[in-house]
Amino acid sequence: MEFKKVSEGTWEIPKEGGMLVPGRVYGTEKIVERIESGAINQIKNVAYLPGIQKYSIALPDAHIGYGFPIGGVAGIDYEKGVVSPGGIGFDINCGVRLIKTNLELKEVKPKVREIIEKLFVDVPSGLGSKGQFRANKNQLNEVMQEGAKWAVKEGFGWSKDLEHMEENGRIELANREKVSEKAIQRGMPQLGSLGSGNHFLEIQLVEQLFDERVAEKFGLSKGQIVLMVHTGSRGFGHQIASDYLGVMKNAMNKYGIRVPDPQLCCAPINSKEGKDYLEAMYCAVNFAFANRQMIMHWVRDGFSKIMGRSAEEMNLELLYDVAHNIAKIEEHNVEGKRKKLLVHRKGATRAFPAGRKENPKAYAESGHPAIIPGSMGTASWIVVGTEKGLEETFGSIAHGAGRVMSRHEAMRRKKGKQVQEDLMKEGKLVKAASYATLAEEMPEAYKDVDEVVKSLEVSGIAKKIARVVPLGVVKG
Amino acid sequence: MEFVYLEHTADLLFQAFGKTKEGLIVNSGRALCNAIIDLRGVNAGEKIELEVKIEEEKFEEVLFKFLEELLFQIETREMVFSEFEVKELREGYLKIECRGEKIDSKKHEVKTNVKAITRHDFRVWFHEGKWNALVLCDI
Repeated sequence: MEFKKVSEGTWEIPKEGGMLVPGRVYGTEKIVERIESGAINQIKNVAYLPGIQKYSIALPDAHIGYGFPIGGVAGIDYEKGVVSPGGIGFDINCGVRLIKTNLELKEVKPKVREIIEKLFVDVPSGLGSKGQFRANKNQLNEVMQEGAKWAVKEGFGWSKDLEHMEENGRIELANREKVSEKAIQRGMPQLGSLGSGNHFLEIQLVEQLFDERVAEKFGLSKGQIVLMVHTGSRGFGHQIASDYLGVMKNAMNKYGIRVPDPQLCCAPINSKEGKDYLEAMYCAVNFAFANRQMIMHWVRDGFSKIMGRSAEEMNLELLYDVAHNIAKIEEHNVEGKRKKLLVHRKGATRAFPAGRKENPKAYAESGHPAIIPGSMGTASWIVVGTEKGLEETFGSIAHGAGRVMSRHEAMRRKKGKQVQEDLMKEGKLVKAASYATLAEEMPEAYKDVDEVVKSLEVSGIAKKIARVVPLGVVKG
Repeated sequence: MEFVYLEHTADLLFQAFGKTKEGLIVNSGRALCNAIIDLRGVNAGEKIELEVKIEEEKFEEVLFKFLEELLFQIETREMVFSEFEVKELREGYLKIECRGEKIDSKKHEVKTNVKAITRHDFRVWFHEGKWNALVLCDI
């Protein structure tokens, strides 16, 4: 293993060649032993980015991505450094939200199948899934600028939902002038849809609590039923990412930037290309916030119809919404000084402890809930950030489990129908638009999410609050 | 062989082949479409024409842009294409006819949703009388 142990669960890749900073990898031995050599190279390559501060960071779910490893974080000097679209990914603001209820297992279990069937119909999912709501250009223009705020104005959800979202569900720096016509055409029919791949809706049970005090602040209790939504900016974000990867590729020579991997193409944050990308990227961020807000509205609606009670009666409150493919402008301590950084989180989730101004009032004393969705059929986690995490990873943690098996290998091992039957034997109902997706997304294709979360705790960058397990899953 | 899918942990990786550059373009298009929907069930009844016009003259850039444009058409028209015919290919330019039909999940076996064509390990090369392209797609 080419890592140097720094402390429990924390490893370093020493500087070599043109690396400006060392690599920092978080994980138990079990996790880091299995990190592919391709991902290790990517961690090293990211360290070449001009303006990178402290470390090129890899979290326990790290695996090969484009340029950046998925599960990769880089804090870049905002004044002097670069922005790299590969450090955000194609599915801009892919993220996850958790909705609470005041219900327990015995009330919901007999109705799980009905709920799943209803949500499968009400929330479009699957290949090229279109919304039941088709946005026109004016509406999309508003969505790009207003994000979830637009959705609430249109009657999707409650205005208090906005207080429980990263950025209150809207980044003001978005500028729709920087978004291509192609992205708009892909986005219009897809607003209000789940997509496919590893996106899902889940009905879950809070199985175990690890910190009763913080769980109480979050309104979580053992045996409680919760709902989870995982999706992103759909074709809209994918197109914006593609468009600007092309722009950045051409900008590299102009600014004399050299990187070891063309997928790390970048431009100075303060350049026209850099600014244009950020402004377009934030349009996709806003689209995804609006998308999750709309889907939550339909989930609340569908769940209410089956349970025969209103969303208000069942306290279907939004716990929090987090992004895990994004770049955020944040202030952090670097070598004793406060610095303005652009923190790239590629398959990584923000987890801020108490004391950060970005936290909503409700979570000022605890830090905000950071949600780590497991893969299909496995547990998900709610954790909270720590001071150590803030110091070492700019308050960033893993976003999920990370794949270990190729989709081909998964499909060779089991057919989708078999995966569905196996999960049913464990009491987990799965409804999907495609059996092929079920096979590709089988639990065995992913790292052990419990080990990923153990890695976060052992290294001290997050604290476990609750473990939730799925009862029913809707997949695209 | 027209194309083959290679192992990759998280995404879709394919290698396409062609005796000519035109053949490589056609087989790359088929590789992309077949990854999304099994082309054996696709009727090539409807046609569209795509044009790629770029400043860069390298053939690999034309191929890359074609695949990006093809993905865009698949998503926005909700169609999949099983047959392709290159009408014109020169430096920085491609005109190609694509034939297929509307995607119908009741009729077509949906396999994978491709989000984007990436430049990760993307390359085009000529070896032992054959053109080759290696393409990784984000899914």
